[in-house]
Amino acid sequence: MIEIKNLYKTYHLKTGDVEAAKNVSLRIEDGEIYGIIGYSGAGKSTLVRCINLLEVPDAGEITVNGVQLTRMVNTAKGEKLEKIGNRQLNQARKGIGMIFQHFNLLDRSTVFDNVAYPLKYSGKSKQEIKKRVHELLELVDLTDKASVYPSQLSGGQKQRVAIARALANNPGVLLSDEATSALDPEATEAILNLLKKLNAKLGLTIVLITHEMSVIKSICNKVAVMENGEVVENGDVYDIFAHPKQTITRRFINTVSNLSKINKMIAEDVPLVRTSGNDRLVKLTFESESTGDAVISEISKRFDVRVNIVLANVEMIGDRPLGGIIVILKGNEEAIINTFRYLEEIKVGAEVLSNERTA
Amino acid sequence: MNELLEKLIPNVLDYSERFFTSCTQTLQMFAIAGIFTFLFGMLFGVVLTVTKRGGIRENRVIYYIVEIFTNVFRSIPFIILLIFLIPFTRALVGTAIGVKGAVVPLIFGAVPFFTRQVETALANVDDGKIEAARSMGSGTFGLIFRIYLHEAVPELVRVTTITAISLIGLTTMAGAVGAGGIGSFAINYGQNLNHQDIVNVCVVILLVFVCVLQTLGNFFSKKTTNRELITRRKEL
Repeated sequence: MIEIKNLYKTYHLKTGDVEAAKNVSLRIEDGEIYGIIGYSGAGKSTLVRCINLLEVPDAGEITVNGVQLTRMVNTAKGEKLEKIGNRQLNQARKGIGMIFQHFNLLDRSTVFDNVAYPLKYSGKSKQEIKKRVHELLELVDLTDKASVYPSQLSGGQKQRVAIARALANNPGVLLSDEATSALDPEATEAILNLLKKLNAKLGLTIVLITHEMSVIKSICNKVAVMENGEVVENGDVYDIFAHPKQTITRRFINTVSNLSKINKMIAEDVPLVRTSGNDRLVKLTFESESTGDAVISEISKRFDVRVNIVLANVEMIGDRPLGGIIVILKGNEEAIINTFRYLEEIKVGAEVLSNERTA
Repeated sequence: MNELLEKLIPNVLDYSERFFTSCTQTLQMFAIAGIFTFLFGMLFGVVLTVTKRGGIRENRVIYYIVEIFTNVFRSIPFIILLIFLIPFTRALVGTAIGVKGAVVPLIFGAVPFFTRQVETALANVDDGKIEAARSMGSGTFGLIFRIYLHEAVPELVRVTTITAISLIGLTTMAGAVGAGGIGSFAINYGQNLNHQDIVNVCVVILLVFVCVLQTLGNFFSKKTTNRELITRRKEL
């Protein structure tokens, strides 16, 4: 389990102070794949680096795998951050693997030696190291590359070597700092599948930072959205997709949703989305329980409304479907109000998109 | 053969014994000063890298002491440094002349140069690698030996070659304090006695020496880069 409480970090730059973390509190349970998403400069990199103290926060408590890495103590001068000793920190870091955007492999070492790096000088025999490295390379499917140098590998292969290296000491936690951002889509998918597999097989807790919502959508169970050093929204990935609260969260969701086309259509005033009179342009959201229900025909039968479907889409979030339909409801005021009431009753999300255009 | 040499370089043959002694002296100065320069330069280069701002063991005081030492001795022209250091050399090794007396100023002349070169070589090691090693629990010594020095080997070989070549240049100047060597042989027996063939031979000898060093340097630098397919771990 990873627990972060009231974390603060400010960088004092020549151009002014940058608050990279402002009162951030997060709790990440064992076995979760926890995504942290934000634009560059949102503070997500700082946050993930605080988990293994590559970055030392100004204030806050960090506990990883039951080890308290930082805590606040009361002194005569007020509260002060107290950090774990260097030796214990290096020990604790062996239980927290980390992978990076640019892999950070040693160019002058073979794949074997790169993976063996964290095993050496830890009291293991050569035989043990050799055995463990081969296990790890098998895990990431690179056994045939043991004697090769990183420069001869593709980006995806390099990241797999980095993953094997990060897992050498059987850590309970893997931190991933934009690990797929430098990879092509195919390699990205392969790495994400590998992370998913490791999560299932080893019960590995993964904390993953990214600026791509597609990454969150495909492998995370939980997500935290960061903006200007603050976690503005967090929770279950499915819930966030179904009921985003913050504008920034919506923007991220729009990047992966086919329904986001509607915004462009509205902006360009495409005839298909023009409304008049009592017409309402509405986005209906169906969660896993209600997807597939014949809601459209039901409402047009029950109430005196006509339903024009503009766009429709079903997203798979993890293994649960999330449906969305954008429709224009046409009918008299009363019928439309009744329709909305009914939709609320059967728990179908309804969001009016361009009310101001109805004039 | 002998006749040919007699014709081409008569004066070198006349002073052949002194000529060989000079070569030996140069080699001695080069070897002794070289070893110390390598050790101290490497040490100071690492210290600068580690203690600099944002380094893995930031330490203002140590950084500035090494920094100032390096800057001061790098800005003094070597010929002046030779004279300036005479009292110090005498106190340290008992004499300020001969090979023994020349080694001290040679070290002072070459260490700052090499320190800077080592510092640059280590600065080229990607910070990401350091960060990755820290995340794996490596301490200061692990970071220095297993990342910085390990990853910078080809670059370090290159800068060692450059320093070695400039050290040869310095040894010839050390002749000025009576250290002997090829430099003073060329001046005292070649230039002063007007034996051009002696000067020529000295030039050739130095040229060969520099070429050998450069070739060795290039070879090892390339060999340690390890970017091409090397299957030395076939057995695994």
